Amino acid sequence: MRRRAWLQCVMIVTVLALVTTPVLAAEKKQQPIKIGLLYSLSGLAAVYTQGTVIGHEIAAEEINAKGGLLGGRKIEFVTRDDKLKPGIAVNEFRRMVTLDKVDFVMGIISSGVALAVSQVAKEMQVLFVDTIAQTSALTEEQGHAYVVRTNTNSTIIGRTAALAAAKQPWKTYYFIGPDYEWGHVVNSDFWEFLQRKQEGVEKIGELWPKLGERDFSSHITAMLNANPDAVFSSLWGGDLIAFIKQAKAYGFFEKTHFVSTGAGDLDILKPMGEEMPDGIMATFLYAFDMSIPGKEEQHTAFVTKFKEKAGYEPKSGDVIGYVSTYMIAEALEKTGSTESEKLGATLRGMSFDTVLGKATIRPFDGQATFGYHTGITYTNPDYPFKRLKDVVRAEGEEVLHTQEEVEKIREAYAKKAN
Amino acid sequence: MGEEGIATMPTFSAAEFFVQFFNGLIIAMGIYLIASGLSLVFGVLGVLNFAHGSLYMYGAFLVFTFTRYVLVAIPESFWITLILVPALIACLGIAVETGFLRAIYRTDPLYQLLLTYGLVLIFGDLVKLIWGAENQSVARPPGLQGTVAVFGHLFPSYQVFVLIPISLGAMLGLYLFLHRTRLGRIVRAATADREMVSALGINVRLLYTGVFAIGAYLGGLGGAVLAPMGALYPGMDFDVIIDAFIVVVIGGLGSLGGTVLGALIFGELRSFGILFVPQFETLFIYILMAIVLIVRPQGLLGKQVAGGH
Repeated sequence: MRRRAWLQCVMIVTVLALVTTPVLAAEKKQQPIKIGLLYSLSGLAAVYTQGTVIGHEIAAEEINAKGGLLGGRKIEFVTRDDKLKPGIAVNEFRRMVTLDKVDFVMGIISSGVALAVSQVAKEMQVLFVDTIAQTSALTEEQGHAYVVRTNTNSTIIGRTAALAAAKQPWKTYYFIGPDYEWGHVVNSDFWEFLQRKQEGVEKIGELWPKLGERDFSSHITAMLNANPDAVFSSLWGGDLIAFIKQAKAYGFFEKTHFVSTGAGDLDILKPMGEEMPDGIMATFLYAFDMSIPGKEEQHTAFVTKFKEKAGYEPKSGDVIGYVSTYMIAEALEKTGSTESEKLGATLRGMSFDTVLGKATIRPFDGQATFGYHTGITYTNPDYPFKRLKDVVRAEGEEVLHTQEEVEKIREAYAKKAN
Repeated sequence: MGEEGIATMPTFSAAEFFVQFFNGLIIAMGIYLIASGLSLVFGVLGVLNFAHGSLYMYGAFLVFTFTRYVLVAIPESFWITLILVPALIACLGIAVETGFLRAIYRTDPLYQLLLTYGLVLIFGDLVKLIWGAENQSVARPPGLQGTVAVFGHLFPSYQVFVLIPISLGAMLGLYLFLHRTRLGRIVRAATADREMVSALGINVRLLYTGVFAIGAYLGGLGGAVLAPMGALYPGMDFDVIIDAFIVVVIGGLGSLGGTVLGALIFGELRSFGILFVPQFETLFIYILMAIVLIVRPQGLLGKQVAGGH
């Protein structure tokens, strides 16, 4: 008996020693800053998120190579897949916080998923930095102290297009958009702002094809029959490509003007190649050869590194991953801590000078004020795909809802909820 | 939605009706190519093949690969792929039938659904591995990029000269095969009574493989013909299979005449829905499907399935 008891003692001590040694060793080194990255890494959205994660990683590598943050602490990512589902995203968020012990979480591509995650962030009092999902509801109606966005939002996108369209003599508008949250929000943002900026504009019809529509023949002819001066579209991805190809065959782009959010992004321009018509008014956040004064060197280095890792030029979502990481890094240094409450408070009201231009995270809603662009598609002999000319930049400050507007929106939302 | 100013119902001329009718025809011809293969396979094999949409997707992506990378130098490359790709997809179909489906004909239909659904997921991920997850586009062949006048109205020439003739050709071909050849009669007999056909000494195994190959061929042909009209992306299989199911359910599972009728109804309802009630353009087809399922569950031209599972 005695001997067994002694053996047990030895065992316990050995196990304890084995367990504690690495912990003690780690204690001597600096603990990393653990950031959770929550994206849809499988399924349809993977096309957008793969590059975003690479963007995050490039920024973290650069920061770590320079000695890290907060006196030598390295950035370490814990990356998880939300499978585009709110339920899974919420569970992964909890798991990352409780098991992986991340300090805070960045990410999310789907607007619906972002709204769900934001509620858990609020409940757990852990900061959620929204990077890709762009519904204005996240920071306006449902905003709180633990959510900020380091990207543009649906208001910036719809209203930037409206600013450019208002300078044209077009009076009658036809609307088309995918029949879900995104399409409706962007179309109404555009229309509401256009009416404010230009007198006598008229909406003569609207069409809401389902997401994933293949055949737009009837939509196209219905719109052409109404003979509008211009058509506004919030279609995106494969739907937008299919629409443009089919509309072109009907001579659509000779008969009316086309204003499109998204058609200026590389994920549309590249696959369409020569088939993209000239003269489309298209919006975009970013182009890989865009130069922001004073940031050329850092930007070129990023594009080179990105191409090396991913095999293609960075797109809007990819540069957002990179820029967001730098914004958070600056805020961490300024806060001097990784605590969510303090970090969130520092981020609000802080200004940044990034490769996407200058931006401030607004104190009252946590929304970043990045600029957005409108341009006209044209054939550039140096590229196998269409580029944009006559590019006009609208700063976020010019177009975002004002503090007063945001408060009204929140009041209306609170009334509806009661 | 529901802004003032567009509340008054506009009036439409006969010309506009014709335009929407013809557009409906274009939609019908596209969905028929895909739905016909699905219906044929169900009629004979009794398997509801979810993976039929995957075959369509592979057809489209193979056209992309051949026209963009393999046959770049040849201006007629699109026409070569139009012949080549459906045949390749038929071979893929043979592999799927002999490798997977053959093992489960005698099991509960639920297992067949699970198997074909599993194939959808596998094929879907393979597309991402092979072609990546980005949107792709196939250019329309030279000379068919513009419009052509049909009774004085302009329509895309690709749809008029390629899609409609090929789809009509598939319709006629299937009809002639099923009604004018000995093999076709056997296939029709198998649709009516599978057990009896095998009792008559016909090699049912071979028959099943052959029919599945024809179904796959039609799916691949659909993918190849529709590729230049839209975008190619992982997930296009899901988008198409739902519409194909609606067509087949309305027309009658396993009834090829029913598939023609279902496709026409599908196309025209979509097209005129957009003209009259744009806010709810997709609603009518679902309402119709619900009515058909309640009133005539076997579909408009479907026969009551004998025996029952």
